[in-house]
Amino acid sequence: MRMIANYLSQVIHYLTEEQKQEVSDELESIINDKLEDLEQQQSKPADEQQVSDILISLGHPIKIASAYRNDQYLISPEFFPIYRQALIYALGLTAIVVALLALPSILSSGHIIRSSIQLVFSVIDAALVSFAAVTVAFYLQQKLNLSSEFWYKFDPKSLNNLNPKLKISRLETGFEFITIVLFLAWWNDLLQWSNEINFAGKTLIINLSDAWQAITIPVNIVLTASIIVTVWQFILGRWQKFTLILDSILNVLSVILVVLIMRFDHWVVFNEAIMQHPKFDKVLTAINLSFSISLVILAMVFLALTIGNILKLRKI
Amino acid sequence: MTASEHYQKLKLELRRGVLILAVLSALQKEHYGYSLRKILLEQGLEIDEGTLYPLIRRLEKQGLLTSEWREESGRKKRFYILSKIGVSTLNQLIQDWNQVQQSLNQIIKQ
Repeated sequence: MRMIANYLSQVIHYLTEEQKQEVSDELESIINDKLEDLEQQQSKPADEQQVSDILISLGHPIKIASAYRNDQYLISPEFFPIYRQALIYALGLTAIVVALLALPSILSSGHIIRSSIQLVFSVIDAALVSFAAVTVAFYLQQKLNLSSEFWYKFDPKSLNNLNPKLKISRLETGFEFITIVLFLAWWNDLLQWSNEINFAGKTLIINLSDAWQAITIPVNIVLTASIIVTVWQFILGRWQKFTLILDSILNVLSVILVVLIMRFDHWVVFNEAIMQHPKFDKVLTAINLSFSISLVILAMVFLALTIGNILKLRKI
Repeated sequence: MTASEHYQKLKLELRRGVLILAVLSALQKEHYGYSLRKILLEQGLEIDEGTLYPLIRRLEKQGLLTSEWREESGRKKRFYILSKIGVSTLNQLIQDWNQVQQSLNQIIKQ
């Protein structure tokens, strides 16, 4: 019957060469046994619908063919836990590398939003390649019958503490990452900062003092290091002793930088026109006050984060 | 998930665990695929055909069964029976099964 022949041709299509003939012969024999049984019971030949029901009871050709094959899984349950973890690390590292490589061009492009969108697509692109590479590597391990024991060897003495109190919300870490990247972009843009203000009916210009140039590179280094730590935390999803110490060092460095900024002789420079104005003292006081308050708040935030890290370190 | 859905899922898992023991036990006598399914069904063990026939092939590949094509009622059929390794493996599995059954009965009674 054509329906049976079609079914068998579909099944063997999904089998290996050496399985095709023997599985086809056996399934044909089983189908004929079932037909024979049915025809004996009803004392008449099976109709088309009954043959169809018999084939449906055997299952979809792909499903039954896959049950005959040894490779039931792309990644077997034995390898899956370590594969999943390897994938998380690989994707995270890929994102870090792509982001760090693209960072200079994003910051210098002058089109931060457009460059950031391009970065997202570059990360997705690289992540897909990374995903495929890890999957192929694990698939080959199975194909070559290499044992998974190597991956599961461990020494209880060297296990890290996975205290739930040390878990980090990935949402928070992601937000932190975006904030630092935007701040880094803003900071590098700030150096060319020139602000026009409307003062006593005139448009006047305020510039940052030259003292800011001296701390440009240290701030960039601290921010870039903070981005790397944040991405690493995002991948791990928890605090580690190493990342806590590194984060604390970065926070202390940030406090030092804030203190250095506080000690600047001038934060901004004004043009002559403002300085000669009778209300200049009031403007200067207002600007100095807002800078002082902002810097003190910033220093306190970094100190609070450092204290928080020290408390977390005690739990490890 | 309802209690009935939980039950159906767990019942399948439970049966999957004892499937090999049932097939090996039934194949102490010679059977072809369809007759094996019928004999298991008569004993109250319904096994999905898409699972049973590939399983027999796998057990044969592992050396637990032997098979031969023979003609019966004018048609060629593949007959399966336990191999020597299959017999000793089945005996060990039956011992394990009895121990598990005994332990489980005690746990269930508590």
